[in-house]
Amino acid sequence: MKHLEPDALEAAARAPATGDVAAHLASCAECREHVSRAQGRQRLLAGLTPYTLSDLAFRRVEARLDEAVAAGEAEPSSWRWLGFVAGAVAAVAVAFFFVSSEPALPGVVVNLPRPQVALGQAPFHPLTVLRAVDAQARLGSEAWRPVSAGDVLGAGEAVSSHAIALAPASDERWTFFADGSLSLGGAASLTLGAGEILASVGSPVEVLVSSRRLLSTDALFSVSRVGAEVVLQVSAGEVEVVDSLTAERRMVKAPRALRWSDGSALKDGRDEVLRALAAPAVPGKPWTRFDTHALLAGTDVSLDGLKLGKAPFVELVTAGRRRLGLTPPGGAQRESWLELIGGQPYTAKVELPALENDGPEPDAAALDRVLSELKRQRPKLAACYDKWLKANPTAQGEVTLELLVGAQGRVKRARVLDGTISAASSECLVTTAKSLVLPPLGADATLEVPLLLRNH
Amino acid sequence: MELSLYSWRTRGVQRPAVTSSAARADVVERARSGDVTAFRELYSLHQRQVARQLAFLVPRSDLEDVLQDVFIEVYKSIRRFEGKSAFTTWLYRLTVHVAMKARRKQTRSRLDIVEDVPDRADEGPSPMDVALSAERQARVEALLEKLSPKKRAVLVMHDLQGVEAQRIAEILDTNILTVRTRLFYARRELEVLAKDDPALADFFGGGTP
Repeated sequence: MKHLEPDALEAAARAPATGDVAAHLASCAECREHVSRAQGRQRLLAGLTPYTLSDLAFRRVEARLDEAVAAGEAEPSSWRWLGFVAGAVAAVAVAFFFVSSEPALPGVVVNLPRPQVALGQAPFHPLTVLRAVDAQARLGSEAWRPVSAGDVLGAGEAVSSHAIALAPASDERWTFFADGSLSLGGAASLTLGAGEILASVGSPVEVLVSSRRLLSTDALFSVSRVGAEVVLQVSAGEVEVVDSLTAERRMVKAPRALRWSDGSALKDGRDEVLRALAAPAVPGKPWTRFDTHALLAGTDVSLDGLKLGKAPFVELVTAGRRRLGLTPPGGAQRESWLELIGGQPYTAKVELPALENDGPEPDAAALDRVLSELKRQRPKLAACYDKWLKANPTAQGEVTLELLVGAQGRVKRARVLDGTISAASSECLVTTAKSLVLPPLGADATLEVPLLLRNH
Repeated sequence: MELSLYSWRTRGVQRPAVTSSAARADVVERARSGDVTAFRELYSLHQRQVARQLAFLVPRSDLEDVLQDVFIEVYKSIRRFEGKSAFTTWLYRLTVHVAMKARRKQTRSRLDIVEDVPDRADEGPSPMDVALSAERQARVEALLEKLSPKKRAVLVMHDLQGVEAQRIAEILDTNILTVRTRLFYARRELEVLAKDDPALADFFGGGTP
């Protein structure tokens, strides 16, 4: 028997066969088996969700492309990736305060025995702490107070921390990520491990440790931190060299680099440093204060597959439906879904708290009445699916809603246990479910409501 | 061109305003002539498209590195782009070739590597019917990695990206018969691998998993 061609088998797997193909399939068990396998494969591949990179990763690639292209600057015909900046950005007042006795000429490397950069902010914006590890702050000579994610730092405050990520409370134009001590005010000082760096610029500065850059609209720097070394690449602007002992000042126009004079390798260990520093990206609002102090110390914590770090820490994260991954030391990873609500703190625990249900089990008749009422109120839940369909006409999926229904029929709590629907739809379902009023059960009861969202 | 330097600082706000096809062609032409600003604009314009095309062609963990390799290759080769085909066609071809050459790299610890693309009806040739669970998705991705680069490329381009076999043949510098053969064996290999996976075997049980 001559079997069907692969294209015909694929087509038969996608849609019911007709005509000769259907007749052949009726008499050919081997072809039916091929069609069945093809159907399985097609379903498998159709269910795949494409993946891409985060904005931060795109920036990292861009930063590394910078380096790759900049490395070609020596060739006469090669491009100068950063060179065009010098012509486009006007020379600006960039003042670096540090101690140096080395002569500095434009275009040369300036060795800094003790580099310091002060990051000026004018006007000063209060800063929200996104994440802090062992952080303290104080104003003037006041006593140190502990600092945690969600706190706001004001002008003139000094911060001491192993690691801290900050973002402006008013907008998200720039963010600091520092390791060490940071004092805030008219001229902030930012300590980058190896020593204090001071700079002042005339506009907001973006510090991106992951791509080793400080950016402002008035100047461009790139910062490398390797062990005991800090390197500033200055491709535009001026640097004011100040001897803090003698107060002698000297201007240097756009030196190619400022770096430590200890001669240590620039790139060794860079990844290690970045890993220790964590991502400086500002999470989208609304924020939830995410606390891991209830977890076993050293537990690896991830949200939506992205590592946040080891417990304990507190961090501001974007609210919404998130996938929490917890890996205790020496243990296996456990994953669960969370509903993080903007403005409401969340404490991570190894076991997700079950919805309380201390009352006796309701009788079958009462449950039937509840289910009938749920069916009657189905259009309310379907409205969430309609919204999803507007955003994605092919949307469909399954979800299980868990409801804690009070004795009087009011839905006291709701959450999505699992499912294959969008985060926005999950949030909508939870919100809608909480507004439902069901027939009285006589006692609190936890119900699981499976929903199939499909467009007919 | 100050804006292009800082284009990525605020997503969507400070990007170069290059939208028309003529303007895009101008960017390519300027990049060919060695304009660094234009090269950066090319990255800004095409980074997400290339990342999407690399999905499933390379493992998630390598996506960032391979994206960089693609644009390094663009940087090296764009002077050889003669405009005989659309730039996006040339770029897609280059992307596929770089992906096929990419060797599995040592996984680096990163805090922030990949994210799932939100469902959007206007993106991607094949609409997603029912999304897989995270675990199943990871298992299918692992199975795809087991296929040889040639088979995987054909399967991903044809069955996931909706590229016609004839165009795949042109992209891979081969003939359509070879493409169909690779596709046949890639599908069969994937089916066998999936059937052997307990978490995926129910896809082949006849009912809806």
